Amino acid sequence: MNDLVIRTENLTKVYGEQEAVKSVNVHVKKGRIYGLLGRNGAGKTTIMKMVLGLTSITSGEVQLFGKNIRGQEKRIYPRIGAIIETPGFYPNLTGTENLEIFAKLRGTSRPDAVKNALEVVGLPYKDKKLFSKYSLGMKQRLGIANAIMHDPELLILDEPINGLDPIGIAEIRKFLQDLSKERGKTILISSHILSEIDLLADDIGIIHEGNLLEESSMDELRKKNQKYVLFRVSSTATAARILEQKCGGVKYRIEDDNVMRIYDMDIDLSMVNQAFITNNIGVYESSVCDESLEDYFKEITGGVGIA
Amino acid sequence: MLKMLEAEFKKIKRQKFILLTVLAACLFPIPLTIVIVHSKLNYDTLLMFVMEFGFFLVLPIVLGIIASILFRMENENGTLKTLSVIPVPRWKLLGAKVIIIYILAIFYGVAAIGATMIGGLFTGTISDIPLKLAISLSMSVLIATASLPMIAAAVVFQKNFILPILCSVIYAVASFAFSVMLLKVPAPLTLLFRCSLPFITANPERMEMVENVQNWVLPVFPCILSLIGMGTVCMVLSAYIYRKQEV
Ligand SMILES: Nc1ncnc2c1ncn2[C@@H]1O[C@H](COP(=O)(O)OP(=O)(O)O)[C@@H](O)[C@H]1O
Ligand SMILES: [Mg+2]
Repeated sequence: MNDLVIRTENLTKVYGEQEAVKSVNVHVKKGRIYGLLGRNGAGKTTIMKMVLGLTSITSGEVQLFGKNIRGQEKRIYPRIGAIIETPGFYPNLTGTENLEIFAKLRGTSRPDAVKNALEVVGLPYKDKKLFSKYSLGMKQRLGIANAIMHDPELLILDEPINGLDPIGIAEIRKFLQDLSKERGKTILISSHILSEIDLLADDIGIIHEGNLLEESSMDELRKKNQKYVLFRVSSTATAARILEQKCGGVKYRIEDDNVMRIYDMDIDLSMVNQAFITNNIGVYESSVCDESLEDYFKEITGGVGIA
Repeated sequence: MLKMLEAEFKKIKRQKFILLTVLAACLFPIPLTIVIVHSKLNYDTLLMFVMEFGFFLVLPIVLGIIASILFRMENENGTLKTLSVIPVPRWKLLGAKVIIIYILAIFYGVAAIGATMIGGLFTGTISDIPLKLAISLSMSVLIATASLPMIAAAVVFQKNFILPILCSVIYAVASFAFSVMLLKVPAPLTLLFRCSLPFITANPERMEMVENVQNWVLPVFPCILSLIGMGTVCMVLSAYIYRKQEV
């Protein structure tokens, strides 16, 4: 209970007619990186905005550090660093001037906080370049610098790697992992890029059309989706019946009339093959496959893939 | 609140319009001075011109545009979001911006009158300098107070650039027109004009003779009280709307 940094209870957001977030229960554990995965428009940003009090909550509640946020904003939010969507800075000021303003407003006591934060994300200190002249990648880095400047316990990062080049992405990933592993920071990160969550997150929440479809640790998810046997047969309906008779309780899934997957790797395959053939089912292919996260994502969202 | 103000000042760095108006406030009495010197009018007439046109017409429009810049800036660049997660309460942000507008108003007012005085030295008819500076200072503060409805418009239309500025221009020009036509419309700027006319007029004797002007002029304190009342309503409303503003 106490190790949950973020907990939402039936969190719901309605925009006009549209239910953007539907009764979502997210559990972010202390010291871990939680990846919120979903396609564009799935509701990731809306969830984060409600957690940060940037938009009203239609129903449900948010607990941060074990406390309901309502009325506690002044005490809770300084412990968080966040970027929501595009990082917001003043275009007529330089990166350093921008950070100095926010550092001052935060009451950041360490005098070198701005310098350190810029160093960490690889931006120059006291540079003359105005924010309006920054590339998307530089803006994103400045956003991360602003989020970590006051050494918060929790980071909430909405698609922070958008616009970064592959090297930049790898740098930020390494940096976030160090923050989490070495300094015990908790990170909630969202992305529509599955491989990114796969590489970075310890826990994952899959969100689709406002519903949190799955929440588990990445290890568990990988284990669950490790391997399956793909059967291409003349009739999956008959095959399924045989399967149930011969080895009841086996986990399988029918893809179409001819293709089915058996998820139980302990099963005696020669026995299954033989059983199919003796029951006049044509077996055209049987092979052991690795299910990728992408397959899994497709499976639980009902067919739509993700990059 | 002090750091809010400091931050607010840093944000307007390199804001061309604000720099330009600061400069203009110092320079705009120059052409007027030339006119006065040429037509051999006395300093008090020059001062009256600056007060009537500069304070009652130009200053509110400039303040309206600045308010619009200050509020739109946060919306346009997503900084309202960055500020909210710190968290900076909206009423504090509003307060800091209003204080900046007052400070700028005082600066414009005193700078304009100060520059006019330098012009007045040429005409050699200048007197009561401390009193005139005191009047310009209090007029600046009162004009800013009478301009608070435009700040409310800047908050309401913060996502738009033209609309709040249009509101300011219409408000300032209409109020000015009401004043010139001696109408009794209860617009804050017109009220202010009605109670401050005896202080800014160059020829008080004539004013006292004209009966409809005499009837139009209002006593100072009730006017200032109602100005403060209207300003307070505008600010409470603005704070409420600003707090509801989602990012
Ligand atoms: N301010 C808003 N007004 C109305 N609808 C919105 C607003 N913000 C988001 N939405 C809708 O809510 C849904 C979820 O959006 P969002 O949380 O931004 O998704 P994501 O961040 O996962 O891409 C989308 O369908 C979007 O159109
Ligand atoms: Mg989003």
